[in-house]
Amino acid sequence: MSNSRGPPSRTSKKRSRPVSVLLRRMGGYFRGFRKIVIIGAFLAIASSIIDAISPLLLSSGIDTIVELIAGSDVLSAILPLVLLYFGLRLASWIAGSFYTWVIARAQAGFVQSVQKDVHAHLIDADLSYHKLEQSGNVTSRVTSDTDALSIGIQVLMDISSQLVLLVVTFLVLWFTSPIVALTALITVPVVIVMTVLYGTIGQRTMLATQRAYGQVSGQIAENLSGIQIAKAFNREKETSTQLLQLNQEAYKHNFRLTMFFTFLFPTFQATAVFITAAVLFVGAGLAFGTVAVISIGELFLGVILVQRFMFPLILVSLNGTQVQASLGAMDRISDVLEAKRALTESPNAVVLEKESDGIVFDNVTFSYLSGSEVLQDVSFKINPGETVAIVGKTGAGKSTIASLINRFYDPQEGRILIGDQDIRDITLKSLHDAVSLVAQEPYLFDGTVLENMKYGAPEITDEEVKEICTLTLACEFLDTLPNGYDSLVLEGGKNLSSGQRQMITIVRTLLANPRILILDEATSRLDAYSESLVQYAQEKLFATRTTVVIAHRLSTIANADRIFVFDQGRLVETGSHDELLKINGIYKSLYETYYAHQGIQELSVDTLETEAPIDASR
Amino acid sequence: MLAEGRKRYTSAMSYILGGMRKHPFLTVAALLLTLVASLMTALPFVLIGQAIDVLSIEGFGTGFYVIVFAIVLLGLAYLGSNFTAGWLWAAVVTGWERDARQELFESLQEHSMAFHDQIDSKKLLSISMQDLNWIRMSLNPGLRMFIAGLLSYGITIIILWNIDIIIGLIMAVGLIPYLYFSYRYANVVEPVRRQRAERMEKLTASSQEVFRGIEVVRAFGSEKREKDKFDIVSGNYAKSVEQEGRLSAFFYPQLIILVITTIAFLVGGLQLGGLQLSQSVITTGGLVQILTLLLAIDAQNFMLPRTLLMIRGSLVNANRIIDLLNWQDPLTEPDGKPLEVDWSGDIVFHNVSFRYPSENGNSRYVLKNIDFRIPGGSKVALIGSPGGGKSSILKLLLRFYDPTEGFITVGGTDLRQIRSDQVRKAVGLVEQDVFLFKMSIRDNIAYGNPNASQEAITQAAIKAQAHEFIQEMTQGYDTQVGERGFTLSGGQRQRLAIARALMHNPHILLLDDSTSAIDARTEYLMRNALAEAMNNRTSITVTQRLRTLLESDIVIIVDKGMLIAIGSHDELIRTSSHYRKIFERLPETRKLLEEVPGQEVVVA
Ligand SMILES: Nc1ncnc2c1ncn2[C@@H]1O[C@H](COP(=O)(O)OP(=O)(O)OP(=O)(O)O)[C@@H](O)[C@H]1O
Ligand SMILES: Nc1ncnc2c1ncn2[C@@H]1O[C@H](COP(=O)(O)OP(=O)(O)OP(=O)(O)O)[C@@H](O)[C@H]1O
Ligand SMILES: [Mg+2]
Ligand SMILES: [Mg+2]
Repeated sequence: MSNSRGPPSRTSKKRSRPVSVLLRRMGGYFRGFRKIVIIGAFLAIASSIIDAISPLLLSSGIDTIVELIAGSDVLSAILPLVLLYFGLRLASWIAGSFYTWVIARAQAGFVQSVQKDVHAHLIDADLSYHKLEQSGNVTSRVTSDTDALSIGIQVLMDISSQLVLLVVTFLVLWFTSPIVALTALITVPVVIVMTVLYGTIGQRTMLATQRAYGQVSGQIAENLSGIQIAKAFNREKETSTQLLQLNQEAYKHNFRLTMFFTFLFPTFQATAVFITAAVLFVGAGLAFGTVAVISIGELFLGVILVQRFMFPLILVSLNGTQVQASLGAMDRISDVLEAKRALTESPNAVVLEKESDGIVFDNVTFSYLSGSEVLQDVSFKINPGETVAIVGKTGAGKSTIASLINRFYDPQEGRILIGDQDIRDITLKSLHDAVSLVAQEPYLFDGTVLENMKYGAPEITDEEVKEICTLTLACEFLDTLPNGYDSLVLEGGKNLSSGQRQMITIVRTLLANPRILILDEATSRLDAYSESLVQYAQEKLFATRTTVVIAHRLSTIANADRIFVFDQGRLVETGSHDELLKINGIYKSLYETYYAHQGIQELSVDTLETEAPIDASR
Repeated sequence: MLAEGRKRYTSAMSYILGGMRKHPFLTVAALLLTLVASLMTALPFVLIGQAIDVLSIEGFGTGFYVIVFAIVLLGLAYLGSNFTAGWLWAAVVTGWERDARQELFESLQEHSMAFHDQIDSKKLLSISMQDLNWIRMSLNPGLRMFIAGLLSYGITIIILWNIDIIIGLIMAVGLIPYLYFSYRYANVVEPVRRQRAERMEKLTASSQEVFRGIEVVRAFGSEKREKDKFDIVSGNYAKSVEQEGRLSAFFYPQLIILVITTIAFLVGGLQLGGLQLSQSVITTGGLVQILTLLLAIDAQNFMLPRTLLMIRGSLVNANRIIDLLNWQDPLTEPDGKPLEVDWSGDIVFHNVSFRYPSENGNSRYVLKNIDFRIPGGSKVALIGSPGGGKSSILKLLLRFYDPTEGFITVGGTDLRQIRSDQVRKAVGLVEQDVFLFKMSIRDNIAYGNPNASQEAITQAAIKAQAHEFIQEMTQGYDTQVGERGFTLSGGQRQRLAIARALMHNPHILLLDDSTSAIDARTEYLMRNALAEAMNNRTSITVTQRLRTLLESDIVIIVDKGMLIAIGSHDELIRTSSHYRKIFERLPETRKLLEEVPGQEVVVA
C-alpha cells in the first residue's frame, strides 16, 4: 500500500477478511434493532413451521381418499383438511408478509447505521488519504457500497429465514420417514462443491468485476467533472474510446460473473430434480415394497419436501451476485473503519487557552511523501498581533505552512506552537475555532451564498452577516449575482465566477472571527479595486490580530510587519520590507523583477497627479 | 461528430428493450429455450404422478424404473436448456448494459456546456452507474425470471387442463385477476422508487461535496455539523429503503394462487374420491400431479413480488436516463463540411448579449451589448471586476455557448457557422480554475495531442516554466497527478495548464487569469517565452497585473457585463477615467502613488 496513513485504495487486490468476520461485523450493525430482528425471526420461524406443516395436510388428504371406503362421503372427509390447509397457508402468508414488513425497518436501519459510521470515519480520515483518493471513489464507500449492502442484507435475511424452513422441513421428513430424510442428504456433497466454487471462483470473479466497474465509474466521474477541458481540447473521441475499453473490460468480467451464477442456478434446480427422483425411488421401495412402510401420501410428502432442500441454495444462486457484492462492499467498508489514523487528537488534549496567540515553528521538517522534504528545518516566531507575509517562488512550500498550522498534517520533525501550547496537545476543535484559513483554492458547498458565508459561524444571524458586509464593503460583488445573498451555489460554485467564489470564501472567514488569520493567496483572483476592499475590511476587523499573508503581489504584502522569504522549503530571509531590500538577497531580486521589469517608468507621474483622490464608491 | 444518428427514445419500455431489439435472433432463441426449460421443470411432476399410478398397477418394476430414469434425463435436459438460455440472456442484457452506458456517456459528453452548467456531475455519475445497474438487474434476472414464471404458469394450465378441465379452467381464469392485480401492485413502486433514486442522488452529492471540500470542513472545525447534516440525508434515504422494502410485503395477488391451489385440492380430492364433477377421471397419481405442479407454481411465486417491483421500478430509472438522452441542446452544429476560416483575421463582437442557459430561462444577462473589434494578431488584455463577464467572453470565443443576442465573427465568419470542434482546434484556453486529470504529468501536458513526442512536451513545459519543477520530482514527467491536481502547488498547476495549451498550438490563445498563483520572476520568464510562441497570433489575456496591460496592443475593460472601454494603454490612460482609476489601484502603482506628494492611498 502506498500510504500507511489512510485506508487503502479501492484497487487493493484481494479480499482480506474471511466471510465470518464480515458477517459478524454486519451483524453488529443490527444491534440497535434487536427487537425488530427478534420479532422478525419469530415471524420467520412461525411462517416456516406453518409452511413445513401444511403439506402434511395434502398428504393426509391423499391418504384419506385412497383409503376411503367406497360410497362414504368424500366431501365431509376432506373438507376439514382442505379448509385447514387454506387456513394454514393464509396464516403463513400473513406471517411472512409481516416478516417482510417488519424486517424492512431493520434493513433500512442497518443501511443507515453503516452509512453513518463510514461517513463519520471518512470525515475524520487523514487529509493525505483524501488527497490521494478520488473523491468520487471515497463517496462510493458511503453510497454504492452501502446500497450493495442493503440489497445483500435483504437476500441474507431471506436466506436465513429459508434456512429455518430447511431445518423444520428436515424434522418433518425425519418423523415421516428417516430413510427418506437421509436420502435427502445426498444433496450435501453438491452443496459443499458449490460452496467451494462460490467461495473461490465466484469471489474472484466478483472482485474482478467490481474493480472493473470501479474503474468505469472513476473514469466517468473524472471526465464529467473535467468536461470543459475535454471540450476545449476536442478530446471527446479519445475519452469515448478510453471509456469503451474500460466498459468492455467491465462487460467481460460481468458476463463471466453472470455466467457463473447462470451455471449455479440450473445446477441447483437440476439437483432438486435428481433428489426428487432419488426420493421417489427410495420412497417407492418403502411404500410399494413387500412391506409398505410408508403410505402414498407420505411418499408424496417426501417428494414435495425434499425440493425445499434446494430452495435456500437456489436463492443464493439467484441472488449470488448481490451477496458477493455486499461482502465485497463490507470488506471495503471495513478498510475504512479499521484504518489507523496517523493524525489523531491526543487523549489528554486540552482546549487552546484564550491567551495563547502567536505562532512558533520549532525546527519543523515536513514531507508529503517520504524522500522529498517540502520544508526543511524551519524555525520562526510570529508574535501575537503581528502581520507576517510569506513570499517565495511557486512550490516553495508556502501553502504547506498554512496546512501545518491548521494541523492538516503533522510534521515529521519539530513542533508547532500557538502561544506556548504544542498544537498536537490541543483539541482540533479549539484549534480550528482560533485559526482560520482562506485557502488558495476557493471551495464552496452546495446551498445559497448566504449559507456559505455563514459556514464558519452558523450561529450568526442573517442581519449580522449583512451588517458586517455593509460595514466592510466586502460584499459589493453580490450586485453581480442574480439573487444576491440567496443565489444558489452549484457543485462547488461552477455557476459563479472565480473572483466571486474567492470573495465568498473571504467573507466566510471574516465572519468566523478567528484569533489567527491565514490568507493563502486569498485575493489572487481579484482586481485591484476588490482587493483594496478586502484589505480595508481586514484592517477594520482584524487590525490587531495575528495574521499570516501568503502572496505574490506586492500590494498584498506591503502592509506586513515582517516578511518571511522561503526558498525550496527553507526560510532564507526575514525582516521588514526595508531591511530585506538592504540585505541584497532573494527578496531584493524578487522586488526588482517586479518593478524594474514592469516598466513602471512608462507610466507618467503627471497623468496620475491630475487624478483626484481615489474614490472607492465608484 | 458523434451527434449524428443518435436516436431519440420515446418510451422507457423501448429503451429498456433496446438490447433485445438489437439482437432479435438471440432474444427469440433465449425465449424458446426458456420455454423448453420451463417445460422441463413441469414434466418431472407429471412423471411423478405417472410413477405413482404405475406403482399401484404393476408395483416396483421396470415401468417404474423407466420413469425414474426419465425424470433424471429431464433434469439433465433442463440443465442444458436453462444454462444455454441463461447464456443468451446474459449475452443480450450484459451487452446492452455496456452499450447503454457508452451511449449515455457519449451523449452526455456531447451535450454542450449549457447542459453541464445546470446539472450536477455527481447526479450524472449516479445515473450512469446506479440507474443503469438497476435496469440491468431488472432484465436479468428480473424479467427473465418473470417470463419463466409466466411460461411455467401457462404450461401448468395446459397440463392441468388435460388432467381435469375444471382445475385447468380455474387456473386459466385465475390468471387474469392475478396479472391484473400484480400489475396494479407493481405500479405502487413508481413514486417510491423515484424518491429513492433522488435521495440516493442527494446522498451522493452531499457526501462527495464534503469529501471534496474536506479541507474547509477541517479548517472550520465543522466535522460534527457535517455529520449531523449527513444523518438527516441518510435518514431520508433509509426511509425510502424501508418504504420500498415494505412494498414487497402483503403481495396480495399471491392469495389468488393460494385459492386456486386449495380449490384444486378440493376438486381433485373429490373426483379421486369418486364424486364425479367432470368427465375426466382422476387417479391418485393425477392428484399428485395436480398438487405438485401447483406447489411448484407457488414456490416460484416467492420471488415474484420483488421481481415485479424491480421491473416496474426500472421504468422509473429508464425515464431518468431518457430525459438526459433526449435533452434538447440549444447549441446546434452547422451542417456541411468544415469551413475555411481565417483564424488570424479580426475577432468582432457584434452587439453581443449573453445569459447562461437555465432551466426556467430567466437567468440574467451577464454580457450586455458588447460590441468591439480586435484586429488579427493583437495582444489583448481583458480586465474588470469579479463577475464582470471576462471568463464568459472567453467561453463564447470557444463556442461553449452561442450568444443569446448578436453574434461573433472571426476573420469574417460567424462562429455559429463553424463546427465547435473546429473552433476548439483553433482556439486554446488556459482556464481560470485549472483542472488536471488523474494521470501522469506527461499525459496531462499532452492532453490535446496524445501522440506528441517527448521532445515537444519538454519544449512546452520549458516555455511554461514548468520543466524545472517537473524534473525535481522523483518521477519527473511520469509523476502521477492527484485528483484535480491537488498534490501540486497552485503555481505548479497553472504552469501545467499553460504547457497543455501551448501543446495544443492554437491560432488564438485565451489565458484566463492564468498567472495569478505564479510569482513575478517566473511570470516574467514565462511571458517572454509566450510572446515568442504567440508571435503574429491573437491572444487574449485576462489579468490583474500591470505589466500585461502595458505590453498589450489593446486593453478591454468590462464591468458588470458591460463594455466600459477599449483601446491601447496609452489611449485609455488619457481618455478613460475608469481605466485610470483601475490603474491607480493596481498593486504596483500604489507604491508609486504613495511617493507622489500630497496623495494618500485610502479606501472608502
Ligand atoms: N498533498 C500533496 N502531496 C504531495 N506533494 C505535495 C502536496 N501538496 C503540495 N505538494 C508539493 O509540495 C511542494 C510545496 O507545495 P506548496 O503548495 O506548499 O507550494 P506553494 O509555496 O504554496 O506554491 P504556490 O505559490 O504555487 O501555491 C510542491 O512541490 C508540491 O508539489
Ligand atoms: N456557468 C454559469 N452559470 C450561470 N451563471 C454563471 C456561470 N458562470 C458565470 N456565471 C455568472 O456570470 C457572471 C460573469 O461571470 P464571469 O465568470 O464571466 O466573470 P469574470 O469576469 O470572469 O469574473 P472573475 O474575475 O471573478 O473571474 C457572474 O455574475 C457569474 O455569477
Ligand atoms: Mg500555494
Ligand atoms: Mg473569470
